[in-house]
Amino acid sequence: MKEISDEMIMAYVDGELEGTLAESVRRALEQDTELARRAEIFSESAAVLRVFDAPLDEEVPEQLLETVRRVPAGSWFSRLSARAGRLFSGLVLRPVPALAAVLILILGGWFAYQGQHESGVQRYPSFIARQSFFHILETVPSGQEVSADNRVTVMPVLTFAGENGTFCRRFDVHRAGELLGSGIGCRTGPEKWKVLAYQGKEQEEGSPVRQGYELAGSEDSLDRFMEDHRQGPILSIQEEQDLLQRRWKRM
Amino acid sequence: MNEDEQAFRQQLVALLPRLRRFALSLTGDTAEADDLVQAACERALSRYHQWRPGSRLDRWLFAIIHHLFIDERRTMRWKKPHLPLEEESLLSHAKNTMKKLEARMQLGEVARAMRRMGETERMVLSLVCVEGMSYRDAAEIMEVPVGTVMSRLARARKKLHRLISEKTNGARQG
Repeated sequence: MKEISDEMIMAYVDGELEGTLAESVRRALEQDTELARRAEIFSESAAVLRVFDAPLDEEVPEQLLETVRRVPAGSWFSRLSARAGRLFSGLVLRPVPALAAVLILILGGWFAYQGQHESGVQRYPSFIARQSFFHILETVPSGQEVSADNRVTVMPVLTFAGENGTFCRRFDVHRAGELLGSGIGCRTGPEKWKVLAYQGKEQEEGSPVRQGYELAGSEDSLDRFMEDHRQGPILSIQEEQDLLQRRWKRM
Repeated sequence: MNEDEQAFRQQLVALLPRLRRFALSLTGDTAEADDLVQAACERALSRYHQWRPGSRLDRWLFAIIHHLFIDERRTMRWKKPHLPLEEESLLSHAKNTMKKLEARMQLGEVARAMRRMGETERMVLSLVCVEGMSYRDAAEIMEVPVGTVMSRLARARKKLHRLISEKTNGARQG
């Protein structure tokens, strides 16, 4: 047998090899102490990580169980449809008006759903339409907080490839060190950005906020918006730096 | 609640211990691990309509945790230093004093070593070595080829071994 790679030894240790290949690695390990020593590294590392097994033996916190039991399942649309169903379940309605009412509710739900995703154009802070704000998204690396006007600062947080070959950035807005809100803007041209979603802190009362970053949750429309619109991976710091230097031109 | 949804929730409850273990190995912090699991459950429930009964729920949940963890780390990278692995928090899992003493020795080393691992290294170690997933399953969750999983995993395990050995040898010499 030719030289045995670390990956091959590891695959044998993990039981990922079968048949003659597994047999030949086994024989090689028996005959070669150096190979056996390398195999030990892989089996030891798996054993060491068993220290994380503790949660298997303990009770699951009630809060987690409650989440699984009580958080409504399904999309906004299906939840709304279900609510409509419950609303009409106790009423005796003739088929046509009942159908019309359900259709109105479904259409209403659809527009409400769309509204969630178009997320409050009217509620954007005024500076978001200014050129100075576009300039920040165009030029400032993620993690740097820059003054957008006399009162607020903007910090790009991450960059990702959006739909139709565009690049989008998530940003946070702060005032006097306090998070005001977060949004997602996508580049439409040189120094031109369109904010597609914005979530003010006051709009998400009750959702957990930690270190200025909202945890993903069923009500976290911004997070869901990003997941729905993201067409590629979130760029690494280096990738983003290169992209800014190339003025947003693709390789 | 229909039968499918009820079954879905029951399976999710049954998965919670594994999800917590997986999240703990990634974050090294009990509270943060539970936050991560909670966020993943909320997301799974909100996208319940995407799940096909009969498919592997565990893989779907691990994939959600994977995305949440990577995204959150990248988002928070600039907001605070790399999160410390809370050894005491990990130790709280140990059931009795003897176990705690043993755990203290092991966890101290493992926690420090894991802290020095990259996100993808921790992820692949957690999926394969903690969760016992096959390379193929890990590759699907991480959305990379199996060969990439193997090379990352081999590298991560050698690194883990080296870091723990360095610490052990250092302690002996000290």
